[in-house]
Parts: sequence; C-alpha cells; structure tokens
Amino acid sequence: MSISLALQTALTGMQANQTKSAVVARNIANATTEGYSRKDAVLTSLTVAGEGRGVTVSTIERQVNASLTRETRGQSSTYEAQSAKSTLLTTYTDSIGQPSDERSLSSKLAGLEQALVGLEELPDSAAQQRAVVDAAVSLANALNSASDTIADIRQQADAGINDAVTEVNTALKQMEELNRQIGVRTGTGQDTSELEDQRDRLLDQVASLIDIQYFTREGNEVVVMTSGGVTLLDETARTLEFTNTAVIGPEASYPGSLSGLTVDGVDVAPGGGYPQGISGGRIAGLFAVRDGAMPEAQRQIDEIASALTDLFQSADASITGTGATDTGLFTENGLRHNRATADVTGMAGRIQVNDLVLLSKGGDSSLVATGLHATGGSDVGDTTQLAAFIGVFDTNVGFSASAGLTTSGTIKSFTDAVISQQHTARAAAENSATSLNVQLETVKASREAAEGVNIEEELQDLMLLERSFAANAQIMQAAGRMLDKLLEI
Amino acid sequence: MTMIRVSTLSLARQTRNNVAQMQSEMMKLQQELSTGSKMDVAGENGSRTATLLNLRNTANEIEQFDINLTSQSARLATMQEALTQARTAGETLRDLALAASGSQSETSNATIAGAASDAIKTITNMLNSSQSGRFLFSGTRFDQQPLQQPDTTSASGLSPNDAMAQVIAAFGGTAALTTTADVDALIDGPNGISAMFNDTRVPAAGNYASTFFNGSTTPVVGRVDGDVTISYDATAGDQGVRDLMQGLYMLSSVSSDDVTEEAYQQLAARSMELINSGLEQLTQSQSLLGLNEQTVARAQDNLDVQKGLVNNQIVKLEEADPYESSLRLDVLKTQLESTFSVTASLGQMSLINYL
Repeated sequence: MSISLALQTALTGMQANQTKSAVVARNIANATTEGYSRKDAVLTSLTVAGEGRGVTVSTIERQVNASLTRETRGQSSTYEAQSAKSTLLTTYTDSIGQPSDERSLSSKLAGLEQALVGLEELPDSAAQQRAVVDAAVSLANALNSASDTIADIRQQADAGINDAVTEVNTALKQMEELNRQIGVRTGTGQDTSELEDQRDRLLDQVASLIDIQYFTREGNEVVVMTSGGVTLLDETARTLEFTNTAVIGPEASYPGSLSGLTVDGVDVAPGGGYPQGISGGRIAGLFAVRDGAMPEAQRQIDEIASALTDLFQSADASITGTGATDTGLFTENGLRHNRATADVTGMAGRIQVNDLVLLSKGGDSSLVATGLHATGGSDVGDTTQLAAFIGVFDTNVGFSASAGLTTSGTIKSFTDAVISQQHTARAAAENSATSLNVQLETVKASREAAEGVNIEEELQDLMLLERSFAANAQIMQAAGRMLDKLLEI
Repeated sequence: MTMIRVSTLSLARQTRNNVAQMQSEMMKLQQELSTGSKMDVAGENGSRTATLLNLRNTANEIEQFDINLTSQSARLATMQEALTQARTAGETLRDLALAASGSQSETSNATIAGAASDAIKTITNMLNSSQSGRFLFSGTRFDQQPLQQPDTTSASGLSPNDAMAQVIAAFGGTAALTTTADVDALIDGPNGISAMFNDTRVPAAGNYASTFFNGSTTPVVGRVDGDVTISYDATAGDQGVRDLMQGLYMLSSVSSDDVTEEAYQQLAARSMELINSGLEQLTQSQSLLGLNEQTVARAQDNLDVQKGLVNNQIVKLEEADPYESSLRLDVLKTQLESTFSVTASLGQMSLINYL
C-alpha cells in the first residue's frame, strides 16, 4: 500500500532532518573550538529490495583537508625548532647586552685598557691603581657570569627537552588508546568523528614537538614515525627515552656525558650518529641550543679568557719562571694558566684576578704598575711595565679554530667579533622564527578556514532543514488525510 | 566555480593576528621614535656590530686620551716657563761673570757671590716646580724634589755648600788660589770641582748625583695616542743644568775678597764659560719640549676631529630614521583604524538578524 509507503518515507525524511539538525547544532556549538572540524551528515536514498524507501544518514563525515593538515604540521615542526632556539639565544644575548649599553665583554676589555692608559699617566696614583684592579675584576666577573649564563641556558634547554619528551610520550599513549577505540567503533559502524578530531589534535601537538611523518591504515588506525623513519606509534606507542642532567658544566657535551634521545634503543638526537636524526620540532631546537650554539659561545669566551690570562702573563717582566705560582694579573683559579698545554674548556668560568693585587685578599694594588711579582726598587715614574701591559691589547695572538672565528688577531678584535657573531646568530634565529611564524599562521588559517565551521553557512543549512522538515510533515498530514478519507468510505 | 571557504574561527583569528602584529610593530616604532635609536641595535646591524663595538670603545679611549693630553700639555707649559725663568736668572750671572773676568772693579766683584747664591735659589726653586704632586724635573723619580737647596743637608749627609767647601779645602782653601793655574787645578784637577759635578769625584758623597740632585735622569714617557709616546727629555740631572749649577756654585763659593785678582778673573772666566754652555743646552731642552708641545697639540686636534667622526658613525649605526618611523606609524594607524571599523561592521553582519 503506497500511502503507508509515503508515510514511512516521510518519516525517514524527518528522521534524517533531525540527525542533520543535530549535526548543525554540534557545528554551531563548536564554531570557536580550536581543532574542531566541521561535520556533515551524508544523506543517501534508502532502498529496500531495490525500491526507494526514503532517505537515510549514511555517515557523519569530517570536513578535513589532508594536504593542508600535513603542511601545517610540517611548518609547525620547523617553526617550533627555530622559535625554541631564538628564545634561548635571546636570553643569552640579553645577558651580554646591546653595544649601546656598553656592558658587553668588549666594553669591559676596553675599560681595562683605558684604566691602564690612565695609570700610565698617573703611575703613582693609588686611586688609578685601584681603578685598574676594579676594571680587571669587572672583566673577570663578566667572563665568569657569561660562562654561568651559558651553563644556565644549557640546563634550561635540557630541562625543556625533558618536558617535551614527557609530552610526546603522553600524547603517543593517548593516541594508542584512541586508535583502539576508533578501530572498535568503526567496526561496529558508530560515529568516530569526534575521536578522530581528538587524535588529530594530539598529532598536531606531537608535530610541534618533534618532526614526524604519519599515515592512516586499514581500520582507520594512524601510524606515526619520525621523519627519519623510526616508528613511534604502530599499534603500541614507543617510549622516547631521555635523561635530564640537572647541572651542565662547560665540559659536558653530547655525544658524551649528556643524554641523547632514544627510541627502541636507537638514538635519534641530532648529531647522535643516527643517519637521520630528528631535525624539527621544539626538541630539535632545544638540542641545537644545548649541543650547538651554547657550546660554541662557551668556546669563544673561553678563548678570550685564556688569551687574556696568557697575554698578561707574558707581558709581565716580573714573572721569572713558569711554575704554578708564576701568575700574572689574571689567574686560572689562582694558578698560572698554560695556554699552550692546558685544556681551555671552561676557562671563562675559572679566570680570576690575582689575589696579589686585591685589597680584599690582603694584596697590593700598586703591583699593577710594576708587575705582579715586583719587589720594589723601581722609580714611581718608570712606566715600562705599564707600557708592556698596554701593549697586550695590540698584540696579535692565535685563537683556536674551534671557536669558529678568526684564528689570529688582537684580543680586542676577537672579542668584538665574538659579541658581534653571537648577536648575529641570535638575530638570524629570531628573524627566521618570525618569518616561519607568518608562514605557519598562513597555512593554519587556511586549514582552519577549510576545516572549521562557518555559522552563516550552518544557519542557511538550518533554514533548508526547517523547510524540508515542514515539507515532510506536510506529506504526513496529506497521507493522514488520505487515510481518513478511506476510513470514511 | 571554486568556492573559497571561510570559517568563523579563522575569520576571528586572522583579524586578531593582524591587529596583534600591527600593534607590536607600532610599539617598536613608538619606542624608536621616542628614544631616537633602533630597538635592537645589534640585531639590525648584523656583522657590523663588531664595528659598532669598536667605535664605542674608541670613543671612550678618545676621552681617556683627551684627559691625558690636557694634563700633559699643562705639564709641558709649566716646564717651559720654569726653564725660561731659570735661564733668565742664569743670564744675569753670566753677564756679571763676563764683566768680572775682565774688570778690575773690586766693589762690583764683591757682590757677585751673593748674586750667585740668589740665582742658585731661584733656579733651584724653578726646577723644583711641581704639578699635582709631581716634580717635573725629577725624571722618573718624580716623587722627589730634584734639586737640593744649597744649605740643606741631603741624604749623603752633606749640603751642596758643604760639598763645595770640602773640595776647595782639599785644594788648600781659598787662600791657596793665587794664580790662574791654581784655579784651573781646582776646577779640572783630579777630584776637582768638575769631577764632582760629573759624578766622578772620590769620595762620592759630595757628587752632584748624591748631594745636589735627588731625581733620576731617566726621562718620563707619556702616551699621546695609541702607540705614540713622547719622552720628557728635561731633568735637573742633565748636563746643561750641571754646567749651569757648577758655574753658579763656583761663583757663590769663592768670594773675590779671598783670592787674588788674577785668580778671580780666571774663576769668573771659567764660570762664565760653564754658565754659557749650560744656558745653551737649556735652550736645546726647551726646543725639544717645544716639539713635544707641538706633538701634543697636534694629537689634541686630531682627537677632536676623530671624536666627531666616531660619534657620527655611532649615530649612523644606532639611529632610527625618525622620518621613516613616523611615516610607517601613520600608515599603521590608518590600517589599524580601518581594520577596527571593518571588524565592527562584520560583527554586526549576521544571518541571525534576518531570521
């Protein structure tokens, strides 16, 4: 009987409309939820035994754009790596100061030279002798504190890697669970769209921490690998292993005493020997700071400290031997520094002003004019030793190539180059982070535009649904009237 | 037809991002405009930061050298003035000695010894001039007065007058001076007066370096600029001062009343020679100091020019162009205002209003 068929068909239409309006309501409610993708109830005509019996909601579809998603995740890996690097480098360059602040190592070094020139003019002035000692102390302190700052930043980076690794591990565990649930629900034909949204958000999070590649395989299950091909999630989640080092001295290095990043026994940390270590995400940026930029800065200031100590030792005519107590104006923890043979690593942290000229240590600041081990006897106006000290600043010395700068030059030009290079590296990281951020925001906006909800669009759909619902109801009414007529017969 | 979709969230976020970006740029520009210098000097100068650091250090160095040069030029001027005064005193005695070497006038000769003592005091005071606690003619031993006052005992246990008396006594006192030869022997003989003033007399206690002069003959070295140094080649131990003082002390220690006329004429003639040679050498020292003064003055001029150049370069590297900043600020203001008005009108535009 066709009237009942019409009634049934109208019923499916009304049901489908109800489901659709429920989806519209879900969309509108989530219009401003980040990471929510627009859902669409897909209608198909209902056929029973080859006959049309109305309409049915076949599936709830997520409106996603796979290529934009992939692009966003790649960009976010690159950006996060650069941004982590730039943030920490900025912390460091803030500590060494802008050239106009005149509190950089370079200014302190020039300060010592000027104090010595002043003393040459007034060799018997106790105040000027103190000024030289003060300038020397302030230079040594600046080197010490730069060394401390570097250690501090490396520790921050290390702790940051530890946090990020924990985040990745948690996310991978959650994704493992979501994979399982989605598998079960897909098998039983239930709606998995919200769970998939959740899984996508976790994938976004992991991508910002570490560079990954991923694919979806049968049963709607996501498999995650690092870009280098090491599996992170495949049915079960692997655990990234990292050991936090609380105190990082100048000698600590990777590979060496510092921890790498292992997955299933494979070390994927950049520079760890694995052919394709991780290269993106916040973790890679932090590794670059901990094992690249900061150790280089350390080597540079160590070279300054070592050359400075050595130059003042050789310029001092009152030093007669090369024993541990034959110290110059600067010492390595109170002893003579042997630049040619000693390991200069960490020298910036060990440089000190000789106790012999420190009033607080019972020393005599007038020794800066005569040589540290002079025993009196020279005229007050004899400035030969001071001229030799001033000559230190114009002496060409060799610098280790491992500092990555000029290998020969005066200590002044080397220090200028160090400060300049460190600022340039920071500015480069900062600029690149800024431009990557613009790119990231652009693809993110495109992705959001493509996947997100437009309220106007939903309202238009709703109007259509209202109309369609009313039409179906009209059919029911008409069919009802028809049945009434039949019963009246 | 391809439709470009826009989602409500992306629309809101994009507007928010744009506004935030414009506002942060405005903040930077505002700061640059108010301070006049770039916000991130090192970042914007890149590798030129090394140059900037160097320039800033140079500017500070110039200041240090400027201070040094000011005190050096004052010191040189004082030295010149002292030497001129000393020369004037010496010249008066030279003229008196010249007259005495030929004249017979007993009365005028009698005043010479007193005049010579006065001249010795004047010259001693002049060469003992000090500046900010530093004796200018003591060489590197500038914490010591260079010349001993004639009648005060020095570290050797003798005063200069005592030392003169000792030498004369060794040759038999003034009474023994009767002929020209006697006078020459007193002056040139072994352990005579010349030996004393040239530090070769035995015993050494009365020698010039032990009794008359307390300084060092090593000249003080001053730094003018970078590697350029000048040496203050004028000490009270120089040969010129020794000659001058020898002539004057000879005149002051031997009175014309005590010796024969022949002997006094010879003494006056020899003194005159010594004083004359001393004065000539002082003039030479003065011209050397004059050269130093020139070097210092040139260095000062040089530093003035350099100071200007260095400051200009620093400003160029650090300055934010105020014109560019304010122009950009205006553009941003307009942009921001239009963004706000568009956002406001978009916010009011909704299908809900028509349902």
